[in-house]
Amino acid sequence: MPDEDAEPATVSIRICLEGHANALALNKDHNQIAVAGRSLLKVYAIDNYEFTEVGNMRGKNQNLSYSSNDVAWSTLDSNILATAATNGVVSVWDLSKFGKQKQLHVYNEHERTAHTVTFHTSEPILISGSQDGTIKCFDFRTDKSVNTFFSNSESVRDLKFSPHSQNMFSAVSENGTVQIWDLRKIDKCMVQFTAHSGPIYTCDWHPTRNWLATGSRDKQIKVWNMDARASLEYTIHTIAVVGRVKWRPERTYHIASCALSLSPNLDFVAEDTTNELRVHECFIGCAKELLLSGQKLADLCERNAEVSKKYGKHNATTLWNFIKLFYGSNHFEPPFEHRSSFSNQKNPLNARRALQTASEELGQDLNGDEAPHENVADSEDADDLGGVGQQQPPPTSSVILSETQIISEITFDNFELLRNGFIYVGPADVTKALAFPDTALHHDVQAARPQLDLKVSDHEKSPPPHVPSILKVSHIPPIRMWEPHQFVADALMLQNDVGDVQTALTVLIALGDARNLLPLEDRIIEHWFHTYVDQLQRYELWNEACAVINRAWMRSVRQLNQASTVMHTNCGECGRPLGGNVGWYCDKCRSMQSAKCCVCGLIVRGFYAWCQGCSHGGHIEHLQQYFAKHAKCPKCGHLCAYS
Amino acid sequence: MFDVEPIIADHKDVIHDVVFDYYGRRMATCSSDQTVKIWDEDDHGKFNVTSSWKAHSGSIWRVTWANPEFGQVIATCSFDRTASVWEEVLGEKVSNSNAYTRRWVRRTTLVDSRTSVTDLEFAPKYLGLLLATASADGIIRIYEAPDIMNLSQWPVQHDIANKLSLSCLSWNTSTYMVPQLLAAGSDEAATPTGKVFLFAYYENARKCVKMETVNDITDPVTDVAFAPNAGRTFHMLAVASKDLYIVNIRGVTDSTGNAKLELQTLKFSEHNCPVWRVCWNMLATMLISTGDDGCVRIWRMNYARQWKCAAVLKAEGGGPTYEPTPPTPTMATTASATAKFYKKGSIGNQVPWH
Repeated sequence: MPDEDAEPATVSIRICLEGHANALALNKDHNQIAVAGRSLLKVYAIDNYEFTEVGNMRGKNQNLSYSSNDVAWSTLDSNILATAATNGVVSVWDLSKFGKQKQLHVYNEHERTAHTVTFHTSEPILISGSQDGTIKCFDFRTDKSVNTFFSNSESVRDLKFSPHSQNMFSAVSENGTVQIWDLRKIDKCMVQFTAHSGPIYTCDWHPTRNWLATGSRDKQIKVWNMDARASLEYTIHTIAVVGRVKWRPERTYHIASCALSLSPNLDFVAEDTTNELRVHECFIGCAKELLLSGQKLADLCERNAEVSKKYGKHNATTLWNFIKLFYGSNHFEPPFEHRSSFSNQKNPLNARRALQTASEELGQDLNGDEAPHENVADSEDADDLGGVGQQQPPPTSSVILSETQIISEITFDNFELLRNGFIYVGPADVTKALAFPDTALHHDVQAARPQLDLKVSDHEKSPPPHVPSILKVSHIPPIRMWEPHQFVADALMLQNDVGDVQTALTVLIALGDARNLLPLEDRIIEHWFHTYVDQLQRYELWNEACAVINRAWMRSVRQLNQASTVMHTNCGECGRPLGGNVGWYCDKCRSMQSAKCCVCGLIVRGFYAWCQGCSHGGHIEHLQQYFAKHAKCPKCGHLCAYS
Repeated sequence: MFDVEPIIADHKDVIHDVVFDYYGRRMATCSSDQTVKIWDEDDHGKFNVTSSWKAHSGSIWRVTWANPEFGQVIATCSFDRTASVWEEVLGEKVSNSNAYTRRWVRRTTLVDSRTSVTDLEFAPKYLGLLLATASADGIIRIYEAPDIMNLSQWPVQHDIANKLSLSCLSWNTSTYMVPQLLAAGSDEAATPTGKVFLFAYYENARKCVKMETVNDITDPVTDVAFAPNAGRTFHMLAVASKDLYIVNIRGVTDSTGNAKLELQTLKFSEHNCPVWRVCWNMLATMLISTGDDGCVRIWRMNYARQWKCAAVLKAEGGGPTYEPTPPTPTMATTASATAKFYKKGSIGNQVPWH
C-alpha cells in the first residue's frame, strides 16, 4: 500500500546477537529486555528505535560456560534477574553490582537441565522446573532451596504463577499434563489433567480472566478455563510446534505464539476476531450508553471511556481520555471570548493556555523553572504569537517543559496503550513476539512535540545575569506551539476513516462549545450527522437518532426531525377537517365532542387513537380493549379494522 | 465465532443473489429456477419463506430492495431480457389472528433491453424512486417512478451506452460529494482495457455522464459495491475481479473549477482465484468477499488505514467445514471450539511487520 510508511502503527527494532538466544524477558517497566541463550546473557535498554546494551553477564571475568534455557525478571526488584541453565543450575543476578558480585546466587540443585524459572509477583521467591521432574522453590535471600515439589512426570517444561491467586502456579510437563500447585502445599498438586497428546512446552495465564493457555508439540494452543475444574475454551491449530505463547495485554482475545523450530520464519500472531467482529452489539450498545451531554465534560469523557472499553473499543477509550485531559478542565469549558475573532484554526494563545491549564492540572510546578523570559521578549520572535507576547511575556520554556510533562503523564497512565510495536529479537529458535495494543496516539504525540534547538554562540545580545557563562543562549528560534486541536481533529478523522463515525460524532457533541476550536469543516460534520442518524435508524434506534438530531447545531440536521410531522384530523360529528383549530374543537359544530373518548365518554388526555376512516377515537387502551372483541367502530359502526 | 446456520432454500437451481432489506429483517433470494423467494425473520432470528413465486421466464440474476419509505418493493432482473418491479400488498385478514395474507404483485416489466439484464439497483432514497439497470449490451438505463404511489409508471430517464457488456453496477449512497456516483463493471474478457466505469448522476441538471474509467483493473469484473455511507470524506468501491480490489475515490475540484475524481486502487490477492461477490456491512467497517476457492473472507481496516483480511470462512459442500477437531484425551470439547482462532498474519525475520 502506498502510504504504508507514512504512519507506522508498529515499530520493529532489531539487533543481531552473537549467540543463540533461547529466551527473553522484559522488566516490569518494559524499558529493558534480558536475552539469554547459549553463552549469552545480556540486558538491553529499549530506546525509541534501537536497543542499547546496558549489561553483559558473560564477560571475560565471568567464565561460566553453561547456556541458559530461560530468563526471568523479578517483579519486585528491577535489578534482579534469574536464569535456568542447561546443566541444572539456577542463577540469580543482581544488575546493580559489579563483576563477579553480579551473580548473587548459584543454586546447583537440579539433577538435570533446568527448563524454566519464574518469580513470584509479590514475594522474594522464585521457582524453577527441571528435566528431573522436580520444581524447586528458592528464596533469593538465602542460598538454598526452600521447597521441592515432585511432579511425578519426566520433565517440567514451564511454570507460571497465576495472576489471580497469590500462591498458585501452573506447571506443564512433557507427558502432556498440566498441574496446578499451591506454594504452601508441597506434598500434592491441587489439580492435574491431561491437556495435550504431546509434550507441552509452554503455558501462560490470561491477565484478567481465569484462563490458562498451553502450547504443545501437537501444534495446538489450547485455552483452558480454570474456574471450577479445567474446561477447554478454545483450541487453536497452528502450523508448527508451539514454543511459547503469550497473552496480549489489554486485549481479551489476542494471543501471540511462536514456533519451536529451526526455521526462523514461523512465528505468528494468532488472533481471535470474535471481539472485533461483534460490531452490531458494539454499535447498538454504544449508541444506547454513550452520553452526549448533561454532565461536565470530564465526567462525560470518563463515563464514555468506560463504555468504549466495555465494548472493546480501545482506541476510542484512549481518545476519550485524551479529550478529558485537554478539554475536561474547567478553564476550557466556558465559551471563549475570542472565539469569534480568532479563527478556529490557528490560535496559539488558546493553545498555550490549554497547555498551561493542563499542566497545572497535572500538578506541574511552573515556578521552579529557571528559563529566563527576557530571551523571548525579542519582538521578532514574539511575532508569531500574535503580538500577545509583548504585553505578557510568554513563559516559553515552561510551556515546553509542562508539555513534556503532559506527554510523560499520558505515557505513564496509558503505558500499555502507548507502547506500540513488536519487540523482536534474534534469529533464534525461540523468540517471543510481544505485541502491545495499537494506537496511533504515541507517534502523533511524538511528532507533535516541538523541538527546542538552543543555539550556542559567542555574540549574545544581552546576557541575563543568572545564565551560566559557559552556555550562552543568544537566540531561541520561534517555537511552534503545539495545539491539541489539529491533533484531536485528525484523531476524529482517523476514527471516522476506520468506520467509527459513532465515536467521532459523539466526541464532537460532548465537546460542547470547545468543538469550535477544532479545524473541521462544517460540511464534514454535517455529513457525519446524516451518516450517524442514518445508521441509527437502520438499527431501528429511533430514540437515540432523535437525541442526536436534537443536539445538532446545524439547521439541515435539525430539520430531519420536523419532516412529515403534520397530522390531519377530522371532526367526529360533521366530518370537516379540524386543521388550523386549537385541539379537537370544531368550528362548524362548535363543540369539543371529538376530544372525548367514544368508549368511555370522557375527554382524552395523553394518547389519543382514532380511525382515519371515520374520525372517531379515544383512549388508546380503551380502544384496544374494545377492538379485541369488536371489529366495528363503537360510535358509527364503521369497519375500522383496528390491528 | 461464526455460528453458521445453513438455510435450506429449496430453490431448484443455482441461487444467484441474496439480499437483505434496509433493516436486515427480510431477505430476498433469486435463482435460475426462475423464482424469487422472500424470507422473514421470526422472533428467534430464523428466516422463513413467506412468499415464493415464478417471476421471470429465464434465470434471475439479481434482486434488490427499495428503501422502506417507498413501501415493500423489490426489483428483479433476468436472462429473459426484462426487469420487473414488485410490490407487496396486504390481502384479506387471516382468520383468528391479526396477520394478513401477503402477496407480491408485479407492478411493471421493463422491456427496453434487447439482451440479458445483468444487474439493477435502486438509487439512494433522497434521489427519489430511481432504478438503474445494466445489461449485457452495455447500456445502463435509469428509470424513475415519478409518482411513488403508482409503481406501474417507470419512464426511462437516461440511457448510457458503453462499448463493453456490463455485468454489475452499484450506486454510491454517500451524500458527501456531488455529483452522485454510479459504478459499473464489465465482464468482457477480450479487451485489455479498464473494466470499471464511474458515472456521474446530476439530479438537478438531469443528466448522467461517464466520468472516469478505472484503468488499473483490466480483468473481467463480476461485482462492484460501493461502501455504505459511513461519514468518510472519500468513497470506497469494492471490485470483484481476478483479485479483490478496493478503489478509494476522492472528489476534487481542479483549477478550472471542474469536479474531478482522484482514484487509488488497492489490490488484494489472498483469494488466489477469481472473486465472485463483494459486500459491505452496514457500518462499512467490514468487507466480505467470496471466491472460487470456496472461502468467504472478511476484511477490516486497521488504524493505519490499511485493509487486512481478518477471517476466512470455509464453506464447502453445503455446510461449514472447519478443520476437524482431534479428540481430546480427557476433556469434552464443544463443537465450535476449534473455529475460534484464526491466523492473523505472520512475522517474518526479513520482512518488517508494517
